[in-house]
Amino acid sequence: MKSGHLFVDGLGAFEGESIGKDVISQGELVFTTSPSGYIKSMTDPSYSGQILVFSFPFIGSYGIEESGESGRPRVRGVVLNHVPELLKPELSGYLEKWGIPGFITKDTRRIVDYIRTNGNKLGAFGTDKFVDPYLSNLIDENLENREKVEGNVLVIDLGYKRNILEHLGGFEVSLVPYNKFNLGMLERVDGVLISNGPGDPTHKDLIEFVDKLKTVIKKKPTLGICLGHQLLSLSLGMRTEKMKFGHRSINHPVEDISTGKVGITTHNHGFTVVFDPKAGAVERYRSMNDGTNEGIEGKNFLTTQFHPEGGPGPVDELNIFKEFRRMMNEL
Amino acid sequence: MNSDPPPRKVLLIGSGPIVIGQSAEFDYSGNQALKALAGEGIEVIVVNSNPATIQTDVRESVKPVMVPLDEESLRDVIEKEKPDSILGTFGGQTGLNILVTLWKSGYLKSKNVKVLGTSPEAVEIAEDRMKFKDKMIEIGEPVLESYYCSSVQEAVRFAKQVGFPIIVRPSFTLGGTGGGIARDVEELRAIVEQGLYLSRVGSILLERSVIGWNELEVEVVRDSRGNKMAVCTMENVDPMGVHTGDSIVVVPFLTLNDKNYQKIRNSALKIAEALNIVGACNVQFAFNNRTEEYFIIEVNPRLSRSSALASKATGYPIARVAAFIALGKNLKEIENVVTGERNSAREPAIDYVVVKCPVWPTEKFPEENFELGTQMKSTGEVMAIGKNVSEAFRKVIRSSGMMRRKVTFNEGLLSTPNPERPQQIYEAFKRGYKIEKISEMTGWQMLFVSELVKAFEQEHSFNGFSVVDTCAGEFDVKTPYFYSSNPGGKIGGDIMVLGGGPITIGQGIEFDYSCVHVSRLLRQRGLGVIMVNDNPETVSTDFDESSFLVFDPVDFDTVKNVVENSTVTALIPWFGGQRPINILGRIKEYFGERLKILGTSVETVDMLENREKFAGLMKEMGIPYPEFLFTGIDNFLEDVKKISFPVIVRPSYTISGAHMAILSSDEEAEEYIRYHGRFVGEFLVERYLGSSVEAEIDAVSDGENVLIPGIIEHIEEAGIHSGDSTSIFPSVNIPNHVQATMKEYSKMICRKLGIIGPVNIQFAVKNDVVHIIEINPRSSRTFPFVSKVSGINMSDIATRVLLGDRIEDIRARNGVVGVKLPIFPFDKLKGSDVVLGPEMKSTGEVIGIGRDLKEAMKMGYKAAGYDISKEGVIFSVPSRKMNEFLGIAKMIYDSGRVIYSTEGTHERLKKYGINTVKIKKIYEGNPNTIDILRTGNISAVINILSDNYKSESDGKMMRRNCYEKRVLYISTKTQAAAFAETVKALDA
Repeated sequence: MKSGHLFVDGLGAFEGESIGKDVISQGELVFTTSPSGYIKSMTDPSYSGQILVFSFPFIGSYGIEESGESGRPRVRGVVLNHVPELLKPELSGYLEKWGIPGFITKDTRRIVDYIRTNGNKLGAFGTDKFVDPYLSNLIDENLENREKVEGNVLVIDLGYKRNILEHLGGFEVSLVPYNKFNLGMLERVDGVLISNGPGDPTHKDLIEFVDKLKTVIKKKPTLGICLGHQLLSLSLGMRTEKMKFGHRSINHPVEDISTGKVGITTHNHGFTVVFDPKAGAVERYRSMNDGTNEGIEGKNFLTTQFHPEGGPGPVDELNIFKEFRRMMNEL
Repeated sequence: MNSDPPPRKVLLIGSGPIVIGQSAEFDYSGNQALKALAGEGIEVIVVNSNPATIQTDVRESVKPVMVPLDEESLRDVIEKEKPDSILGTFGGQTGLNILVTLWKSGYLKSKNVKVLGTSPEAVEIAEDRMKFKDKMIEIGEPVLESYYCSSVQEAVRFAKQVGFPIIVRPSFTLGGTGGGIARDVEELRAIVEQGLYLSRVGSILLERSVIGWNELEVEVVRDSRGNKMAVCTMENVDPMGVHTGDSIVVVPFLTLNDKNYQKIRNSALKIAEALNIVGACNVQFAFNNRTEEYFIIEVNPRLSRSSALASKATGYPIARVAAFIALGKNLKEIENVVTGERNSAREPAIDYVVVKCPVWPTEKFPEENFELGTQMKSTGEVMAIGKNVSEAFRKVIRSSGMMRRKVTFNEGLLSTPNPERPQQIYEAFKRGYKIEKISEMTGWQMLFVSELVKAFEQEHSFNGFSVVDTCAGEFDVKTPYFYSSNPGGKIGGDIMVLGGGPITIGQGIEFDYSCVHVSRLLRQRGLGVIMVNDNPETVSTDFDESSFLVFDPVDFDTVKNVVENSTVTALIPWFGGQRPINILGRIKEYFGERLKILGTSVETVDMLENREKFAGLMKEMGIPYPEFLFTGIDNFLEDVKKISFPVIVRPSYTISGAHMAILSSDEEAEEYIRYHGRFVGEFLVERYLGSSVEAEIDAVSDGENVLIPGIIEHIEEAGIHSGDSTSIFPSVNIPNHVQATMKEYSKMICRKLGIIGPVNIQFAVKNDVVHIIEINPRSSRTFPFVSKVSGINMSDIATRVLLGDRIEDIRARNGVVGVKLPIFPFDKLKGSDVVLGPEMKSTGEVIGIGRDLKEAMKMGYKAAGYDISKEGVIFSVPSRKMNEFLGIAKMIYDSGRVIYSTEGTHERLKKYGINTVKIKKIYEGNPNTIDILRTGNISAVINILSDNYKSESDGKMMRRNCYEKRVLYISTKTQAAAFAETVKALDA
C-alpha cells in the first residue's frame, strides 16, 4: 500500500492510500452520488478540471469492463472510499495508464459534507498549492479536434459524451469542435446538437460562439444538452450562475412542466441557468430537488440541463431525443 | 381517476401469523400505511389474526379487528364496519389473495367498497403466470419458456420437450410453498403432485431452468399519474435456484456495469408501467453476467419482504409512500419525511452497501435437510450496513450467530446451497482453495467470495456512526438513522433499548412489539431513545419509531460503540427476548456503573438462569418445583431412581426434542438408555408431573406491588414448550384457589428477588399443587397476547416501572376470553418429524377472541386455518383412558358428527351407544386413518397416546398428514373438551 496526500482547501491534508498515477494534480473538488458507471463518470469530458469524489464507497466492483464516454479519463483525479481488493489492481492500473491519480480515504463522507456545507472547494494531490481550473479554457484542453462532415445532424463538440450520439438513430452525425464551427455548416444539415462540456459557460473564449447560436436556432432545429443548454440560454439573453456545489448524480427527479410528469435523470453541472420568461423561451424542465431550471424550449429548439442520454444513469427522459428527431424530420 | 370522493374509512388487510415466507415485514408495512392514513384523518379498520402486531393496537382513528383472515370473516367485518375503501397490498400474499377473492365474486362492488392502490385486474395479471407471460411478450420483455398446467401428465410431456432441470412453481402460494426443482421424471411427479394440491387455484408453472444465473431484484414505486422510480436494486449473492428469501443479498447491484444496471432498471420501470402499478412492486430478474441476457422471473404487485429490505437499506419509506399513492397522491405531492422535502420523487442514493442474510431454524429441526432451493426455509433475516461488502458481511456474521457455529469442512457443501455455506467457503479458503475455484463451485461471483473471506479474517473496530439519509450526503436531512462505522460521528440519546434481532423460532415478532411500545413511552416522557436492532422486517427499525435508530447487530460490540459514542446513560434490555439477556453479564462487567441497567439486577438474572440456584431458592421459599438432576450414560439408571417415576428425560445440550422421553419404570429406563445412549452424552432428568396442567403468568413488578392481569392456561400436554401450546387467557379451567396460589407465589418471588419490570413465570399444576417450572425476568412472548385480551398495555406499564413509577391497581377488562394457537412450519420443512417437545417449533401464532371459550376457540381454529365445520372426526383413545373421554365423544356424536375410529375404540364406544365408522390402522391396509384424512372431510383428529413414550412414534405419521392437510390434531383431554364444546356450539 502506497500512502499519499489529498489537500482540501479549508480542510487541510488527508492521508490515505494512493493508487493510479502518483502525480501532482490540482482541480475543483466535486462529488457524485452515483453507485454505478464509475468509468463513464471518469471519462465524461464535463468533469475536466475536476477532482471527482465518489460518495458511493465501493467503487470498482465490476472492474473496468465498461465503455467510456470519451477515449480516456477526463477527471484530474478520483477520491474513493474503498476499492474491493480483488479489483484494485485493475482500477489502479487503468488510472496509472492514463496518468490519473487516485486516492483512497475513509473520510469521503467528511469531504462530501464539507462540500455540501461550504460549496465546491479546490483540491490537490501531492501539493498544497491549489489552482482554480476555471481560469483556463477547459474545453480546449479536452477537445478531440475530430471533425466529421458527411452527416445530416451537426453535433457541435464542447466535450461531448459518446452516449449522446447513440440516441440520434436514423441520422448521420457530423461533428465539429465549437471553435471550428461556422454558420455555413448549417446548410448541409437537418439539425444541430450543442453538446455538453466542462467549465464556466461565461468563459470569454465562448462569447463568440454564443453569439453564433442566436442564428443557429433561427435556422435549424437545435438541441442543447448541459453546457449546450447553458450556452443556448445565454444566447437568448438569460444569465447563468455558479451553484453552491452543483448537481452530480444519477437520481435527480426533474419535472417536465409540459406534462407535469417526473423523470429520474443524470446530472453533471456546476452552473445553472436563471430562467427568464421574457427571453423568448418557455421553461420545460425544473429540478424537483431545488427548483432550478433544467431545460427550456422555443419554436425551434429544446434544451436540457440534465443528461437525457444517461451514461451513467437512467434514460427516463429519452423522449427529448425523439422530439428533436421529429423536429428535424419535419423540416 | 381522482374524481371519486376521497376515502373516509379504509379497511386494511393484515397478513396473519408469522410463517416461513411471511414474517414481521407486513406489520411494518401495514403500520407505515396506518400512520399515513391516520395522518390524513382517515378512519382505518385493520383486520389481522396475529395479536403480536403493532397494527392491531387500538389507537386514534385505528380500529383493529382480530378475526381469521378469510373471505367469510372479511365479509362480516365489511357488513359491520361499512368501509368505503379497501387496501389489500399491505398484507402479503395472504392479504392480496383475500382481496382478489372478494373482488372477483363481485362482493366489493356490491358493497360499494373501492379498491385502493394497484387494481385487482393488475394483480391478476401479475399473479397469474400465463397472463403475466402474455403481457411480458406483448411489451417485449423476455420471459422463460414455460408451461402452465394442472396435471402431472401435462407436466411430464412438457419436461420431455424442453429437458431437465425444470422449475415447478405453484400459483398463489406463500414463500414458494410446494415449489421445487425437478431433475428427472420421478422428482417432477412428486413436486407437481404436491404443488397442485397446495395451489389455491390448482395450477402450476413449469419453467426452463436458469439455475446459476445472477438473480436480481428491483423495487419500484409508481403513482397513478405514471411517475415512477426504482427505489432500490438488490443483487442475490446466491445465484438463481435458491429462493430469494433464502439468499444472501447485497444492495445495490455490484457486479453490473452501468449499461446493464440501467437495462434492468428500465425493464422494471417498463413492467410497472405495463401492469399499471399504483403503489409498490418488486420485479425479479435472472441475469447472465457473461452474455448480458436477462429474463423476467416474477413480479410482486404489493409490499413484500424485499420492499421492507429496500426501505431499510435506503431509508426510503416505501409502504408509507405506497399508502399515499393509494389515496390518489402522486410522488410530487408526498412529503419525504426522512429528508423533510415536499416531494418523494428522488431515487435514493446510498453511501454504503447493505448485506442481508437469512437465518434458518437448523438447530430446531436437526432431521431436516436444509439444502436450499425454491422452497423458502428461513424464518427471518438480518441486515447489515457497511462502507464495503466485507464490513457488512462481518456484521451479518455477528448478527446471524454464524461465528459461534463450528462447521466441519465438507467440499460437497460448497456446491450445494445450504445455510452453512459461508463458513464452508471460508474453511475451503483456509485449506488453500483459490477464490476462482470456490466461485466456480458455489456459483458465487468472485467478488463476493473474496469479500466474504476478508470478512472472516478481518475484525473491525468502530468509533462512532454514519448516517442512512437516502441521499448519500447530497442534502441535509431531518430523520436519518445510523450504523457503526469508522470513522464515525457521535449521536445523542438518553436510554438504549436492545431489540430482538432476527426472527427465529422462539424469538419472534412479539419482542419487537414490546420494544416499539417501550420506545414510544420513553419518547412520550421526553427521553431520547437509541434503538438497537438488525432486523429489517420490523416496526422497531422504522426510521421514526425511535430518536436514534442504530441499525447494527444486537451484541456487545454494538452496545460498546453506542455507550462510547453517544450520550446514553441507561439501558433497557428486557424487551428484546433472550438475545439481549445473554450479553447482560458482559455489559455489566465492562461498564459497571457507567451504564445503568434499569430494573431487575443482573445478579438476579444470573441466579434464575442457574438451575441449581433456582432450586435452592424455591426450597428456601417453600415453593414446590419439579425435582431434577443432571446425569450421564454411566450413572443413568441409578440416578433416574433418585427421582420417582414417571420422569421426563431430555438431552441437556441438544436443542431439540428428538431424544426426549417420558419414562415410567426401570424397564423403560433401561430400554431408553440402550437406544438413546448412543446419541446423547448428558441428560436432564426431571420429575414428570403426568397429566398436569401447565400455566404461566406475565407480570410487571415494582419490587413491592405486582401487576398480574390473569393466568394463561395451556391446553397442551406437559413437556411441550409453552410457545407451542394452545393458550387460554384468562384461564377458564384452573380452579380459583389454584390461580390464587399462582398469584401469591408470583408476588412472593418478585418481592424476594426485587424484580423490577417485566417477568414471566411458568407453572405446572398436579392435583391442585402448584409447581414453578421457570422464571424469566423479562418481557415474554405472550406480552402482546395478554395486553390485547386484557386491555392492559403491559410493555407500557413495565417501562413506567423501569422509570421509577409505582404500580397502580389496574383491572383487566372482563367478559372476554382469548385463545392463542401456534402455527408450525411443517408444511415447508418436510423432512422433520412433526413432534412437539421441550423445544419450540412454531413460527407464529393466531388469536381467537370471544365472549366465552367456545367462541374464542371457534375463531382461533378458523384463524389457524382449521375448518372444524367438516363432518368427520377421527377418534383414537387408549382403553384405560376411555372413561375420561366418553363425555367428549358423546358430545361430538350428538352434534351430528361422523366419528371414525380403529377397532378397539370402535368397539368400546359402541358399548356406550356411540356408533362410529370402523377404519384400519395405518399399516393394516385400507381404508385406514390416513385414507380417511385424505378424503378432505375431516375436521379433527383426536389421538390420545398412552403415557408410554414408545407410542409417541405411532402418532408421527398422523401428525404430519394432519399438518399437511390442515386438519386439527388434538392430543390432550383439555383440547379435546374445548373442541367438543366448540363443535357443539357451532352445530347448535
